Amino acid sequence: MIKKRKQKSRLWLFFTLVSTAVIVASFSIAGLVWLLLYNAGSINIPPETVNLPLWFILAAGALTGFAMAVLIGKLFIHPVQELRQALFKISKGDFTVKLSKKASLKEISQMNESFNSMTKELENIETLRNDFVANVSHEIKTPISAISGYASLLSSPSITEEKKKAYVETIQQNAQRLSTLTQELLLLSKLDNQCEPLSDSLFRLDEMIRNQILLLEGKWSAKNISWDPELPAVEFSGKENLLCRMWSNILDNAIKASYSGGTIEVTLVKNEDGISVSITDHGKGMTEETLKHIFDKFYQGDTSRRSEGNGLGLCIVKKICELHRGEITVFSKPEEGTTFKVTLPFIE
Amino acid sequence: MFNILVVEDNRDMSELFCAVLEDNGYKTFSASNGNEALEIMDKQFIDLIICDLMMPEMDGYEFTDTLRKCNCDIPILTVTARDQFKDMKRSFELGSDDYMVKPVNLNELLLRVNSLLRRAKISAEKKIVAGSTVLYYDSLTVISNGKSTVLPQKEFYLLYKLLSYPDKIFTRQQLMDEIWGMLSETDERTVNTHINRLRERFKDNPDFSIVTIRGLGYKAVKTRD
Repeated sequence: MIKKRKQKSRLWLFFTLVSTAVIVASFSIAGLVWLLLYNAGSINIPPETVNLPLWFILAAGALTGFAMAVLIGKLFIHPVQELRQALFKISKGDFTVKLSKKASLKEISQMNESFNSMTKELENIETLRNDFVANVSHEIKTPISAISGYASLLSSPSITEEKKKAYVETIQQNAQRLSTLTQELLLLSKLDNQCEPLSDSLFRLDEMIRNQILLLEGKWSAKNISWDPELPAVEFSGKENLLCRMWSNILDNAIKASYSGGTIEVTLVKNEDGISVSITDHGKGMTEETLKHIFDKFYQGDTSRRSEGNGLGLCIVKKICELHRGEITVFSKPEEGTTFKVTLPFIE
Repeated sequence: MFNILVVEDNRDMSELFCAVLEDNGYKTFSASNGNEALEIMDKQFIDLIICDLMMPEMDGYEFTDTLRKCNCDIPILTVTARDQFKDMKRSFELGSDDYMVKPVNLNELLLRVNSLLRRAKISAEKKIVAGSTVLYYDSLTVISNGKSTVLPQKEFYLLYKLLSYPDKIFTRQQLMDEIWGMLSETDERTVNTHINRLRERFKDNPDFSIVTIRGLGYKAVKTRD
């Protein structure tokens, strides 16, 4: 408290002295002019009273200077002090501080309003971060408790071979789930922080998509899915392995949603200013409610399929798309199918 | 009986790999770094190497590089916790044949080991057998039904590639890059032409067929085996 007082009065003192000095200086100039005129004989007054006006000028100067300092101080210095204190609170993590919207100067009140919206935004980010940590914590704890639980069940002496097999399989599945989760979280973190500067490279976009389809062959041939690809030769420049990841996630979703024997259409179109890729499946589809949340972290529309994924796949897709300054839209109807459409601009 | 060398400094991992491999009929040797691995290879013939990247004294990169520089073509399967594209790229560039990221699915490990050994055998013997048809790499010859045919170079390589990986789909681009070379100016439609010629040539062959997967590419399917 004392330190702040000292700093406050230092600023005040400094400002007051400076403005007073300026005013006094200008008044002194007036006084000098008066003296000059008097000496030059232009002004006729009794010699004893010559110093009186000078004293008067000096006093008037000091008074004016002081009054101006106080007035301007109120207008400027006070808001600056308030802002300084508010910023100090923010640096300590308190985002609830708000500044008064009423101020004599329009600029100051605008500044305060901007400050308030900044703190509101910081509060939101903090909430999102806490939610995220809570979610991740849950997503990690669930498989770990399954692994630990089933592992201790395995040590039971009277366990049938069948049960053993089942428990072991559960342990393996959960271990795999944890492994995928950590990979995806790491990728998300990198995308959010852009800590690794990835460089762009030129490649054949159609070939990239084809390769991603082929990499998933195990999954789609098991479901007897056939493809209807329209992939003309198109060259594109971007972050190669992020884009591969993006196509892979979307294609994987399409495969998961498709029924056995279904078809998935993949269409690549080259426009003047960019490309667009549409991936359409004729599978389960999604409700409007689900559609609103599919890009949220950890969201899974079909909760019965929790074991298959972590709900981070589409979040990663969206981030990669945004990183390339592109857009992603989804159309879906339950029982009819889903279309994901990605548009990416050419970067000059 | 294949000899497999596991080069891994983490004892648990090393024992795990050896156990799985031995359960599946392989004979295993283990080393905890590149230097030890080279010593073992001096005394023992090895068919395949499973190699970690992060190891003391001589790491996986250096080990792979050393082997390839000595013209040693033994298949190397890199198994590592490093999951960055640049790590994989460097590993392949130095001469590794396959790359797996830990934690590995042991069944997948076995499949890849099998596949690498089979490919090594094919490239060592330089011949492929499909039912009663045999392809001989060095002479560009296909023997089928008692008849021996010498194929034009590109046609033969194309067929050989497809039959080396039966049921695997290859895109036209991939086939072009491998058989015509990456710098080739030839159009992808040349691949179509050659495939059609092969189909025409072997239309009566009962051992294999070449299937078109629309929009994606081609694959060879063994119809008897």
